[in-house]
Amino acid sequence: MKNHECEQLEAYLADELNDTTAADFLAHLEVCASCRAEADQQAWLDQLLHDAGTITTAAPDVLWEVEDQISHARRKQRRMYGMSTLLAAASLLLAVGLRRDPGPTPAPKFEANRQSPAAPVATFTGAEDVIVIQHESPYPNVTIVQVYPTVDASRRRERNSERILLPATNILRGDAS
Amino acid sequence: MTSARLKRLYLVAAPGSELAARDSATAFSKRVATDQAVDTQLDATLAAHVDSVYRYALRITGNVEQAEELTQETMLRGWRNRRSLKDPTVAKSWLLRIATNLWTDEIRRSQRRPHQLIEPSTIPNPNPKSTPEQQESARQALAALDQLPPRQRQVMHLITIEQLSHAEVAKVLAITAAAVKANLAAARKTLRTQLKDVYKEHQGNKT
Ligand SMILES: [Zn+2]
Repeated sequence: MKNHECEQLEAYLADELNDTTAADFLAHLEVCASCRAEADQQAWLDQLLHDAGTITTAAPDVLWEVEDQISHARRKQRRMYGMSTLLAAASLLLAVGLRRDPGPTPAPKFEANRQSPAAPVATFTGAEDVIVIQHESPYPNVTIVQVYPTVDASRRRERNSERILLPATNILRGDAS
Repeated sequence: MTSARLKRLYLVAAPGSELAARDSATAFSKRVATDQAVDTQLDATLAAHVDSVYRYALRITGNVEQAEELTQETMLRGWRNRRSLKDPTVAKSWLLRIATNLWTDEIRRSQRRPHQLIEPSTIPNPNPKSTPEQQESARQALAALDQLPPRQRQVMHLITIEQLSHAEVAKVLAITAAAVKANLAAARKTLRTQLKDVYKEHQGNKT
């Protein structure tokens, strides 16, 4: 049986009836099997959708990317204020001298040294993640690197799957002086 | 400096940094990652809603890749404009509003119609605790939701899944309260009709 009260169903489901009308509609639900069935089904459906819909969560790397960009933005900000001490090191070229074999040496000797690397003269350590770009060096016993205080390249690195991640103490050996 | 050619790019993680932790830990659970995110960069108020933003993005884009992009853009814009968020209790609807605006711009720019069809992959893994019948009902309900016209789908999603109030939905979508009501009523009616058999089956299983 359909009557004008049945038309209030959607408003009732949306919780939009005022107290008096809601009370009237509840009384109608008692006698109207059709509205009761619809209301029951809607309650079931809402619960089902809510439970199924909230299972989905964002993959962790969605936030990582955001994190990277925020890191980048924050560093850029710091750079603008000239507050970061790392900034001083940003465009610094490090010439790293090795104790063994000072001066230009023939290629074979250098190869040997590569297999058992010489101890560095100094160790550069930092409290933040950095990107180190190794440049072509005209001297076989000198490593030239450029240091950037950012983690922005991590995405590039992950995508290229060329993962060269070394502990800072292992790679950043050298002396800025 | 000679014409130094870029040879190699190293990313050096400082000991104990988030980056180092990320790379060293093999079994790096999602929750830990998100907790770290909350602690380190993104304001916790905003980061707490990343799942809601992603779910909404998935529902309106219908595509995992676009949803992830939209989520990232939304979180970033939220972070940049975080000072304009005066009341942290409305952070969720504030972010959802940003997502809506970004997507509206995107559609306008690319002249593309919002997706009507959802990739099968966007239907999430079913709740392992539910029975196969429940999982099937859930799958059908979500599929029916994703077939609704865009506006109805948005309204239904925001109210039923994200549990926003009508007033919040009106703000998120920049539509009137009456429009929210009309879209919700239409969406519910369609879904009830489409899922009548599923409901009957559910009732049959219950008894
Ligand atoms: Zn009725």
